[in-house]
Amino acid sequence: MKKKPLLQIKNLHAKIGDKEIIKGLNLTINPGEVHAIMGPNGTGKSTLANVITGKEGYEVTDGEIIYKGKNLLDLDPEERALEGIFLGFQYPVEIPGVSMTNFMKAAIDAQRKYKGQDPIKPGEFLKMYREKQKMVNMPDKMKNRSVNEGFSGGEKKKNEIFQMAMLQPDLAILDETDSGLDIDALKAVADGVNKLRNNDNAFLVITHYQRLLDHIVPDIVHVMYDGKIVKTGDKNLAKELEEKGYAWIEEEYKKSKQNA
Amino acid sequence: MPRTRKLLEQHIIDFFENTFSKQIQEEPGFIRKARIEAFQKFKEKGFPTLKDEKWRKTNLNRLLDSYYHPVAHSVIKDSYENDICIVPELKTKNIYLVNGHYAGDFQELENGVLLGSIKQAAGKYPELVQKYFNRLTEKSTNPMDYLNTALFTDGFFMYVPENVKNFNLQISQKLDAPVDALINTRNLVIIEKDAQVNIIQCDDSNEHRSHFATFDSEIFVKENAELNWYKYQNINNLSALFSNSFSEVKEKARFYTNFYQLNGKLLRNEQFADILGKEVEVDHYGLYLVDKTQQFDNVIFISHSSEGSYSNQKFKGILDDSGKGFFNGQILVKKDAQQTNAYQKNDNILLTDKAKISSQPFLEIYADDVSCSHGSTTGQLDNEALFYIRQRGISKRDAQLLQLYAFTGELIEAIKIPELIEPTKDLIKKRLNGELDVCEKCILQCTVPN
Repeated sequence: MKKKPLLQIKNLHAKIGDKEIIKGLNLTINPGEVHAIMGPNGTGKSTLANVITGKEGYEVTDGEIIYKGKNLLDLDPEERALEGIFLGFQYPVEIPGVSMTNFMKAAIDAQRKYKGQDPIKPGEFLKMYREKQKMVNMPDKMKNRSVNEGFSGGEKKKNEIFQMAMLQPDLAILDETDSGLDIDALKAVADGVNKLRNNDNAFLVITHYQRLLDHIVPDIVHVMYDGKIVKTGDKNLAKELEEKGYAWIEEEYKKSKQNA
Repeated sequence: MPRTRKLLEQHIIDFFENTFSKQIQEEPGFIRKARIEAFQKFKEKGFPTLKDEKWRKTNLNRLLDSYYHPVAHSVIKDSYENDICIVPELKTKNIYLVNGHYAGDFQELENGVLLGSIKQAAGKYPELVQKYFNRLTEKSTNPMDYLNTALFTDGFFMYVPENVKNFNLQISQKLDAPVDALINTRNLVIIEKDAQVNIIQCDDSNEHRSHFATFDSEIFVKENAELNWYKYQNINNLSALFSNSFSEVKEKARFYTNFYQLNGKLLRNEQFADILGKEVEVDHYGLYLVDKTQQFDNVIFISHSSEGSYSNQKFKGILDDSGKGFFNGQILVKKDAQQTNAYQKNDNILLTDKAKISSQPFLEIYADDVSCSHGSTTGQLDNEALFYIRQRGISKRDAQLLQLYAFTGELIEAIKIPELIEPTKDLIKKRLNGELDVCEKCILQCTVPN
């Protein structure tokens, strides 16, 4: 039996201020799938991630996003997170004075409260914390540091994957998680994702480059251009893009626009 | 031309001339003389106005149009044992200052420490008290100090002899008048060479009366002595408390303060420290959490009169609603005070458009080989961080609290008494969460876990 879609985006239009960034985007993600969205800079990939997660400053002017059968656009960012949507940030934010453990404990407890459960026991929390740290190769000493403060680029990205492992989302959006990573960090990030993949969750991997997709093999690859998805294929599409660049996509898109 | 006097000002003048001057006939001459001189200055200058440089942001007019009754001794309870301001596990002496009076006996402890009412001390140890009393306040030009010297009812006196280590004192100040009251408390603290003292002070009030209170302390920290003073202020929204301290810090001595302004209509702390020797360390820390229409002020003046010393001012504030704050931090480095290290930092978060902070650094440096810095920041909560935290499932309110609480961390980390850390954190959390009430007992006791 076919599973119900986890996320359905239909004819989404969104703008920042007066500028329309998303211009009629359609996307369906089913449980168990890994989608990759590729495309040149400034085509709206990060905006899409921000609109799905509810960041302020974006106005949805048309279309809808249905997640687990609910209208996602009605929910606050924290409600979307509690419903299982996780964003791995392109630029993880530093939060001085808030230790990683306190931050994660607050997040886990918020999740548990949402499910009607008691706060996690400290012992259980620390055990889980260590396990997940190990999974992404994060040194134990980092747990006492303030969130992302003084972390290197690679450490910040690993920290996103670590948080994802802690929170076990149903839909994880990874926004350019590969940018600025050396090969070891890239492998650690990909490893983390691969260990978390299962038949019930889904991933939306936003990236410029094919290289991350060598390690996280996607089921479906989309190309985003001018605020919409202009091409969809399997993992071979990513390889094609790697070889040929994005210019041909742009040309094809412009042609199709002219014909229309 | 005589200026128009505000109601309270006229009331104070009448009270001193007609009533109080007769009540002090029996006092030692040096105290009476100080009072009369201070009164004359008060009568001449009156209360500060918006024209005074350090009062331009602090409008007293509404307070001064009210009537405050001087509190007589008879309203003091016999015992305040049940109101003990206790931090568990801390071995301390506890004293109670209620409506400007000292509640309790004069104590001469085994280690030589003298502790009790300043008025009793002046009777029992006239030479000792005379040597120090009014030596520092005398130079003040602040009318609040004139008022305090002229009209103080009582206060505490503490003398710690040489070499007494780890002497801990908790002070519970209660503004607990049955009517709207004028309260003036005067204190004298002498820490002899090589002694080491911790003071933990709580300022509380009842819930329903309006108090106009001054609290002046003269503090002498002798060579290689150490004084650490923590203060938690939590009085009702009708009351104003002006706490001024004057300290003289000698060679190799350390004077450290960490003050928490939590609640009150108007809280103003002025701290003047005179560094008179090499290798002195003076640290003044403070946190102010302001909301509603409250105003909390901090006016700091550190004078480096000798070479090779260190001072540091660090004040942080969170201002919500229509809350106001005023920070004025002055550093004076005199000509001979070479190799001075003096630092100052004031950071603020404004949570609304109506909240206001006025932050004024003032450095006056006459020596050429010094290291001094100052900085002031005022900002809002970081929206990027707010979204990041919310994206992890934490509610907007909790995300804000997490950030605000983190902002206060630097001051909590500066606490040197481990037993104070948790109660302080708890107080701050409660205050940020809007759960901190004026307590019937001491605020630190309010927060002790059951």
